[in-house]
Amino acid sequence: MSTLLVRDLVAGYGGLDILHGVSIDVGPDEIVTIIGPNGAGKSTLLKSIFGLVPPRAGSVTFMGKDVTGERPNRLVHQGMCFVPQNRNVFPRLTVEENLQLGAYILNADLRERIARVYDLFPPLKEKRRQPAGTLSGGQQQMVAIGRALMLDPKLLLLDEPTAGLSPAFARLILEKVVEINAAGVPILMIEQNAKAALAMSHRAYILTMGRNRMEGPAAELLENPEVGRLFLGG
Amino acid sequence: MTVEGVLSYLVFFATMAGIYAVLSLGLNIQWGYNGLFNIGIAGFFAVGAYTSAILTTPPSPTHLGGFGLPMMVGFLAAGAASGLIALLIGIPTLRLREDYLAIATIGIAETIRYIFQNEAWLAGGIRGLAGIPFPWRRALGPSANFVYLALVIAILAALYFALERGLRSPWGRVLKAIREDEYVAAASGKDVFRFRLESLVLGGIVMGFAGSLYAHFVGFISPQAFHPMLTTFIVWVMLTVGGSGNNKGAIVGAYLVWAIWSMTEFVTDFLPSAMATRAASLRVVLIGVLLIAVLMYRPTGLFGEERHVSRLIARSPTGGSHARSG
Amino acid sequence: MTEVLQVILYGLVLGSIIVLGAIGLTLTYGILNFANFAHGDMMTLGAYFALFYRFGLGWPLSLSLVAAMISGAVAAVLIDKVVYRPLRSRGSITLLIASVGVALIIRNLIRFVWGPDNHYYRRGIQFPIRWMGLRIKPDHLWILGVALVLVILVHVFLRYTKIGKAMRAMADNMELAMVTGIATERIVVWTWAIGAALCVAAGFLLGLDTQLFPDMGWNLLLPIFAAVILGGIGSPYGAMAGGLIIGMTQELSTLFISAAYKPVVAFVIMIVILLVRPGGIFRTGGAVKL
Ligand SMILES: Nc1ncnc2c1ncn2[C@@H]1O[C@H](COP(=O)(O)OP(=O)(O)O)[C@@H](O)[C@H]1O
Ligand SMILES: [Mg+2]
Repeated sequence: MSTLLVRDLVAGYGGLDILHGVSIDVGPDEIVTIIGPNGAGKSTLLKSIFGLVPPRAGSVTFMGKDVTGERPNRLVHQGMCFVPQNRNVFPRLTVEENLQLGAYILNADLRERIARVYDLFPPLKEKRRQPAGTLSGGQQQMVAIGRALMLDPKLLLLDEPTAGLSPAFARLILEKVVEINAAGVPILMIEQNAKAALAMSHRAYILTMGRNRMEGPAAELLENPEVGRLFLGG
Repeated sequence: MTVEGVLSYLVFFATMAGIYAVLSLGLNIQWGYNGLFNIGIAGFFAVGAYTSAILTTPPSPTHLGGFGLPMMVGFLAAGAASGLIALLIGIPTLRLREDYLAIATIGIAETIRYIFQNEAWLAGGIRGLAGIPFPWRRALGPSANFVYLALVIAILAALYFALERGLRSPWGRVLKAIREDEYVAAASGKDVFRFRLESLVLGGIVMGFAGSLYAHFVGFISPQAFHPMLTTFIVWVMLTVGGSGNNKGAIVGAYLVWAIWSMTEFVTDFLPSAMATRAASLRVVLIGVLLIAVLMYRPTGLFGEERHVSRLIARSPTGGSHARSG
Repeated sequence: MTEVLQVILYGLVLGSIIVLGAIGLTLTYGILNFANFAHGDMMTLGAYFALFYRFGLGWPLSLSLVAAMISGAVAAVLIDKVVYRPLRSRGSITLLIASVGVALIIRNLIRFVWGPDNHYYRRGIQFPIRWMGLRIKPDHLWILGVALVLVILVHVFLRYTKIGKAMRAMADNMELAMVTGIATERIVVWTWAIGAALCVAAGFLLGLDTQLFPDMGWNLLLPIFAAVILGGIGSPYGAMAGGLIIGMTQELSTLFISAAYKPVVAFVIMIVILLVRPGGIFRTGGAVKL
């Protein structure tokens, strides 16, 4: 059974449709990457899966349950967690408070979960009393991902986790994504850094103008000359 | 009440409502056409009134001026002074968030009121300024108020036609485009800041004119007449009821709301005087309820907005920050 | 020298009152994203609530304060339900206009019920304590004490409770708060309640310091806005610092210019801040210190 099943999703802003019927699957244990040009509707797709942009047609099924258009708050309870592309930390809250808020819906002792995040991202531990807004971009991204991991998600949605980071930090973050997935968390990720992303994913989708353009095992897409020419810059 | 009494009341009513209609037109330039949130209307109104009064009253030993100039000079200077204030407040705030402009305009209105209240040398302080002339009052005798009404209506009509022309011109279309989406407007090469400043200043000038008309009509002004919230607020209600973005709506809204306001006064006048002062505050409550009801149930006002701009620009669900929904 | 110290004491007193008003305003401003112009009149309403409990029901002053804070919280939550919530989807400026309407409704209802005249919590003159040349009214100690206790309570609440953290999170980044699964509507209710309770306390202390009249809260609204903008919108700790600075500056200005211009001083500071640091004095680039 797929963890996530999106069928013919239509969504947009105001009077305008951005997605014109997009379908994707994420299986258990998979890393699935979405690539595509700017403005293709990738972020809109994640937002409408997560209920931030209401879908106008189509369906979203999560762990066998129809969750089309569910509010984010309900999806979080079911184990779907989302790391938006921009403004994904609470800048005036400390690192530790950011992590605590990740598990806001739990009434439990969070120390062990927080310790696990610090194990994954050691630099956060020494900065845990600092406001997240004072951290570097890469460290803020760690906070953002760590926050989303606090609930032990059953599916993690990541929107361009390496955007704006230095190459070294970008590599580090992608390595951590693989590590998180190895621990059993399925991941649906958008990445600009298409080559590196395909190299670490199981499968991938290419989106253009709000429609599925291509899909397949990541390794095949990486080898495909058309993909190379159009989307991998060479 | 005699026929003359009714008639003279109607003239008084139509004149006051006409002066408020001028204010409402001024606000429409700023808010209706450009989305500028001015809640310091009382300040602009006061500057206009005091400027006109200081320039046209006969010389006085107790306060500034008394230059005895013609009313026409006072009228024009009122617009200029009020426009200047708009310019000074606009330069620092028009680049900032729109709610900062709101806070800044109320601040300037309060400052103006404190100055007129405390600086007796300037304009009589809390005692105010009396004897503001209407030149033909004596010559005209009882019909003076008719003539004044005609003057107010003529000015109102002139402003209405001028604004309709201006706002249908390319300049007016840019103003609306900025209100709809300043980023799109900026992207298409418009100097958003300059257009905003022009609309704030133009609205300020019109409000200054209204102040002058008011001063010469009532003949006496004091800081109490420009209580920041009441004057400002009732103009907002007028424009909202009439339909912001619509000059006809601004004028009809002014007459309608002033009619409601005046009718409630009749009711409170029947009460014993001890209760009357308290009941007067219920009139304001009523106007407040009217405003909120219009916002909730008829956000476009009676007239809605005349469409001069295509509505192709889709508004984002999160970023929408304008009051009108249609 | 003593004169300056005396003025500083007055500045602390006024500053404490502004701080209590500014915390609530900055929270609703940051979380609901609108400038609530009814906040000053809510202060007035709270002061009159306390007057009612004190003289209408004959309760002790301290109990009257607590009861007024609760009543104010309930009133604010109701106003939100009836007026602001239905308008929330229509954007911040519609809410702002509505709040101007609410402000006038509250103020004029107060005028209707209690009349336009001044009222006092206490009859008679208080004799100031003399200490190191300073004249200290017992009421001033009360004001400073109550404000201090409330600020500490607010701090503990914001720092150590889940709801408090959620509130700060929402003021920081509303969309992310929703993404995190915070039940935002519930926190909004808490925000109104706590903001109003503090604002009622501010009104009460202002009434204790001077007197109650229908415009008392309105007159303090500009300084409160100045404090909020100074401290950065949505930052309760910024509002505390901003409130003290504004209160202090207003009182110190009386050494140089007429006391009638105190509110203008606050306004001028605010304009300067808007010009040079529109994000508030504590904001440094993208990073924010607490
Ligand atoms: N909040 C919004 N309101 C209106 N249009 C939007 C909004 N967000 C994105 N868009 C538009 O939707 C389209 C797709 O955007 P997005 O999903 O962010 O693309 P991608 O993530 O693939 O770069 C773009 O044309 C963008 O301008
Ligand atoms: Mg994107």
